[in-house]
Amino acid sequence: MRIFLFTMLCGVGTAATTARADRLVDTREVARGSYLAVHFSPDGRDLLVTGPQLRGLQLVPVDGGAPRTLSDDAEAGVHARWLGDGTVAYRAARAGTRHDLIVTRTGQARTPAATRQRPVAFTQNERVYAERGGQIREISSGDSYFGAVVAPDGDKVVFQGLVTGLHIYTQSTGTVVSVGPGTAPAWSPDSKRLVFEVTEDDGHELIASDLYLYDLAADRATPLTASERVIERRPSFSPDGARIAFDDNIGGLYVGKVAP
Amino acid sequence: MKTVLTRLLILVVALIPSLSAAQIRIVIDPGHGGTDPGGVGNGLQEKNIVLDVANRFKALLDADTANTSGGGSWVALRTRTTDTFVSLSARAAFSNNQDADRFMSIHANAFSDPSAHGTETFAFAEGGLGAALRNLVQSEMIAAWGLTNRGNKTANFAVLRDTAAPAILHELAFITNATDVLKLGSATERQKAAVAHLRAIQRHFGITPFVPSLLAFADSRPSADPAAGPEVPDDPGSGGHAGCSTSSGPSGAFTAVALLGLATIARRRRR
Repeated sequence: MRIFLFTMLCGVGTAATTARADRLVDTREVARGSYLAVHFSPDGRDLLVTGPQLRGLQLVPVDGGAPRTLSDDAEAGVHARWLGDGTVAYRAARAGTRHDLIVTRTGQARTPAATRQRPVAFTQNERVYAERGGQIREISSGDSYFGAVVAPDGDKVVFQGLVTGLHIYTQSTGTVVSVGPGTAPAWSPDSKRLVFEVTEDDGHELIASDLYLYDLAADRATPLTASERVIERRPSFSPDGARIAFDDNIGGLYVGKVAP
Repeated sequence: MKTVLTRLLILVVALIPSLSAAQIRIVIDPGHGGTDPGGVGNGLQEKNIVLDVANRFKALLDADTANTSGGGSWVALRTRTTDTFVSLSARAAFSNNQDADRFMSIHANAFSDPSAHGTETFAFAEGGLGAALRNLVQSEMIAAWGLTNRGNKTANFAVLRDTAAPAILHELAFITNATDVLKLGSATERQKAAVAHLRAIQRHFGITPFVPSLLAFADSRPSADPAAGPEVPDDPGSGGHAGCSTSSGPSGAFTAVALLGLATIARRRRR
């Protein structure tokens, strides 16, 4: 693992000498509890978080204030995401079955209306499939793939391979680009950048993690953080793309500014 | 009283289809791999031992699914299938994105003091389905291998904390202990460990333990020995159960325990 990370960091370092590299600055702790897996709200005021084992959903105000519980459901944090109207879609495990639900900021849950929206790409049986020209074809090979996340522009999808890390599929060009090692990817609002974590572990626990920013136009990943003290994990862009929130693997939430 | 019985009947009717008809998704997690050998001792590497047990467990789950004369119906997924490095964060994310129903991590222990020995199993916290599965895996493994019972424990391990599915992490034995390693280094014993995991997950879901024949799955059976590392010679007389543990239950009160487990699952699934 150390050799692997060293090789990757050398690669990143070489690229960084030839171009501007963003950093995360003015980072501050927003809250501490048992929080993980952050999602900035569409208005930028709140952080949607879950808890250990991805149980429950809570809203934590970015500028201080008491957190609000939206759900105590098991697995609520797995597929939780903000919708455009400020509500949260998630999947709850109840009585041995899973239910798709929508919850408002006040905690009122309802069943969503059925939709027929077809994703740009999706993962199924550890493979990735994409639609282009009216046809669905497999775009993955050589690994077990999962976790497709569609970019805000609806044209790009990031997905993960167990061994090979992150990959980006662009529907308009039909191309797949390998980003490299990483997990927990999150798109920037303009779909031009991707923030993700690169973790290091001893086989039982994480011993280090930093956040990286991938610029699609430059095809380059640069480190946003380089701290030995904090294990930065599960990042999320603010709606204006100027800030990034993350958790520290031990229940703390942080927000920092993206600066050149 | 009538209302209670009616609710109980509704619960049982609602529960039975979910247990028998739907396929249960199990993510099997062989620890370490690739550049991370895990524990090393007595000429063995943890990464190879646990991958072999995981592959055997996967083959048993697949065979159980195919055999309709008993057992359960499973979708068995693995976080790695070869000697490759997979990060803990990727393992947890994989499980969550696969909508796993249970996550079962398999490890082997190691310690600087070679006298440390025995079997132990971890869950994230006491109570709940993870702890219930942990207890069954531990008891089945003690019955199968007969090593020292180090107990049912809790730990804040990454794969236990970051997985949404009820999860366990099992430490088969100490690779650094001269007695324990006789189990780890034996293909026969590793098959017993895989059977113990099968029995545990079956009992956890209220399914009568059933060990299918693997003859029809010759292509998917793991090789007799792990891919790398010198092996400790197989010694059938090295202790524990002689022969396959398919017919010997972990306790004489199996039926009562199974029914209690089913009731517990039913109660906890209503959370």
